[in-house]
Amino acid sequence: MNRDPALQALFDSAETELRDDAFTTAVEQRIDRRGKRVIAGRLAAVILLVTLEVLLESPLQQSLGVAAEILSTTLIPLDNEWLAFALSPINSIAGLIGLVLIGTQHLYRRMR
Amino acid sequence: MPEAPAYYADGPEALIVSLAMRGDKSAFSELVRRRQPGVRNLFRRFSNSPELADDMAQRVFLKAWQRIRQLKHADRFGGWLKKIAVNEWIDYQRKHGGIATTELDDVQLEAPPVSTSEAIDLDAALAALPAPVRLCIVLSYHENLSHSEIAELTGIKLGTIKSHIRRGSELLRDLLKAYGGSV
Repeated sequence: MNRDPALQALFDSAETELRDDAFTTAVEQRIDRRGKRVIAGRLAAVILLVTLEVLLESPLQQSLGVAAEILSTTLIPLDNEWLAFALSPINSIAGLIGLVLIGTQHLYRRMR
Repeated sequence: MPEAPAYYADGPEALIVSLAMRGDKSAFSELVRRRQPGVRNLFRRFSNSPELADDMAQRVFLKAWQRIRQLKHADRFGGWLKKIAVNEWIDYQRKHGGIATTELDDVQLEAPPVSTSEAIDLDAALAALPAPVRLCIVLSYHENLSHSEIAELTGIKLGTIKSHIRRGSELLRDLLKAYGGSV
């Protein structure tokens, strides 16, 4: 690789010996602040979940039951018990949603 | 943050990295102390602003701390940190319009308009280059990376990198000559 020696010398001389001063302390403080924010966020999420659980216990259970019923609905009815059992992970609305999600993720990665 | 044991300062880097990977904050601070000049200098070349450079360098170390458990080989910490730094800079440039989100490759190289009365140093001359060209030049001359290493790090095509470095070097020489530089 051909590097211009004069430019290389200029870059080498521009490399200054930067003293640490307050830099490391600033990084440490940033890490601590970030850690505190993460803990506060998790705490808030737990409090929110507990509150929601208390407030919506009954309606939540009902809607979860309905959602589970819908998601497990068979797409294509199969007479053969073993075949129905083997294909149950994909032969349902949940399976279809899963496949769509995987496909979308795959497509997104290829587009990136 | 707890005081680091004195022997951290003399310990081999791979050992300190392994300790940091296990959550030892003092070990990570030691890594920051050792690596901060390199990372800050890199951002100074990229940005021509000591304040922005230090802010970006701090962000890089914060990200490194958050992801250090994902590092597979402790002895590759330096290269891994460099990758975080370059990605951080590319993201920053994209957010601030310096590098088009669509493509790092398509750049028109023209001599930028600059005032002749202005004393220009290397960082200022670098700042006058288009962002992708500056990125390639800095990684080549400052970090001494090969073309293929730059391609791997930035995702820019190899041919484009060669062209950016060749034309960027010419432009940089012209800029520095115009202001009485030694190049």
